[in-house]
Amino acid sequence: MINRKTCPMEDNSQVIYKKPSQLKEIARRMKKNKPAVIGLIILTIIILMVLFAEHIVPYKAAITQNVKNRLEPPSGVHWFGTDGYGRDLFARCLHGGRISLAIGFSSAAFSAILGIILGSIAGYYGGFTDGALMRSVDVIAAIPSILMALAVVAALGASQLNLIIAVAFSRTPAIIRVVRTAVLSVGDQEYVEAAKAGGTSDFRIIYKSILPNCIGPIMVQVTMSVAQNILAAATLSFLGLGINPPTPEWGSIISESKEFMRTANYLMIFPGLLIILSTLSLNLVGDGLRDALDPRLKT
Amino acid sequence: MWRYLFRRCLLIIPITLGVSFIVFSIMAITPGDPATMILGIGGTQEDIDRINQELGYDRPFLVRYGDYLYKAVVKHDLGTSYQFKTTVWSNIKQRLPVSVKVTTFSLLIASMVGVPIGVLSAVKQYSLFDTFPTVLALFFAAIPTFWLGMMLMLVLSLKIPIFPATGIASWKGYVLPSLSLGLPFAAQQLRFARSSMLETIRQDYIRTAKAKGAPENIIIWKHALKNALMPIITIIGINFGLILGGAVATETLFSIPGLGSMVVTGIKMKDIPMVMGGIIVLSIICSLIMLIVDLLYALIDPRIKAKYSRGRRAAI
Repeated sequence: MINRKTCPMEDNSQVIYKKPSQLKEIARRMKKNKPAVIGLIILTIIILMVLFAEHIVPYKAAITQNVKNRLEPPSGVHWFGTDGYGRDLFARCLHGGRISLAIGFSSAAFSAILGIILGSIAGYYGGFTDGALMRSVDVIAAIPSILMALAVVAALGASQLNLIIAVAFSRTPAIIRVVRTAVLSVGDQEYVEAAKAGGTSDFRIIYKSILPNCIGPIMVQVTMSVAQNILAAATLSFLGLGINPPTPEWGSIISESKEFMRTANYLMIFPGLLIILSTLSLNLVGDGLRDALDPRLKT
Repeated sequence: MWRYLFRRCLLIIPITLGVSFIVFSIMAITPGDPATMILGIGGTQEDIDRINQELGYDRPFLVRYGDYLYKAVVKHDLGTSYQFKTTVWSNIKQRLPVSVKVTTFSLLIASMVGVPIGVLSAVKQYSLFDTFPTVLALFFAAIPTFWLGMMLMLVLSLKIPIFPATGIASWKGYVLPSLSLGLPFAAQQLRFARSSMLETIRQDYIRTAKAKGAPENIIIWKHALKNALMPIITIIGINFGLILGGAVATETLFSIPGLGSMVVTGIKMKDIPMVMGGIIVLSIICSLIMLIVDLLYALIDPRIKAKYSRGRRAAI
């Protein structure tokens, strides 16, 4: 990684070499990456709108049925139109986004924590521990992730928390592999040897010396997994094993719109576009992060 | 080479055993029992108990698992579906070809669209041939497959009736599902092909070929692509598994009788033999595909073949 050393020229008597902090350097590179900035802006707008959904349209509008107003096309009053029960689609999409994004982010966080713990154990200790852990990871990875998530949701029952657990569980193997590879790549560096020789505890070595030096690829993988998790959660809800009605969620809104495909196709277009926008922006940010963390990888 | 192949094939056994144990455990903690599912709401407690006993569901977990394994391995019997009363094998035999067909078509679309455009955009980096496909690929990579399927269905089946919306009565039925599964993966393969190709065309031997005066087309499609192909083949192999197992939503949407939808209805109905059979077959196929990908490496890259035959390659 290039560390620019700045040298203030005005005072030659005391030359100060100042190394910009790594975070600043990454932020600087991110700012230069236009797609990443666009992604970040879109993502921020979506997150803000979803966070303040209650202030934009109250939750009541998303679940109160009003059969008189059913299937109204988009207009000034109902920006995205109304669904088969006369509920405001804009309100449903906003409040649905709360759940979709919450599942996406929290399952990514969940699998990141689990993945970092197990991956660094496997990478750091090696030998039997590594073998046993990685073989179990192979087994879980051999099951198609969406079917795995479906089975877990069926076993635990359909609820928001269980959906998060199911999605996280099916995503963790990928993160464990990335963390393990990253840990392996710095595990035999001199400073780790030095820390070991100095009698530092294993936990402290992993936490203080190894993880900060391989956080880059892990961050990228976790960012990308948020996008995949949003898609996975939407797919589960679409298949009817996710969020229970009438609670809105992007996947379930699309699933409900199936029967009105001929007459009211806006019902499926708007939530679909929201899913695309959020996964697209997350992917852009992930790409930008990868390039900013390691400019050599940039293509 | 053969020793390596043998070892890799042997590795599939513990993985399949692990898969079967995990799926069996998850199914065991799923609430409800098969008899209630079979009889519906009308069944009396006596009938429920009797059927559960007939199915052997009243025995302890490990005994049931052992019995399942014994029957599957020794008698090649994956059991009988609780819902349909037909053997799991006959269901798999009917559905597997459909799944493989859809997956193959999707993969063909993905590779035939993704790889050439990816190579082209790498060669013409920063031109319109690069930016336009790259932006489009980013967009397609973000689309949920089931939504893309619905949009295709809306446009190419309901608005302009070219293809049937559901069913696979003729080849036309395969078009929309394969497109909706293939296009997002095409986007992914485009990105892979592009970055892999970019890396390759910067290497010295390509410059040498250019200096020698070899025609541009031959340099790109013969010299460079051959070396850039390895990561692309890996991703195609991984994608085969992903599409085969992940086509559930698309299968449901287009009412295609594939393996994925068989597992989903199985999960919903707590039809343990169907779920077990389906997932085990899927995972074995995925492992085999990855094995084939590994062998293809050797076919493409003589350096790897040399490693195999010297037996230096560490176990994976």
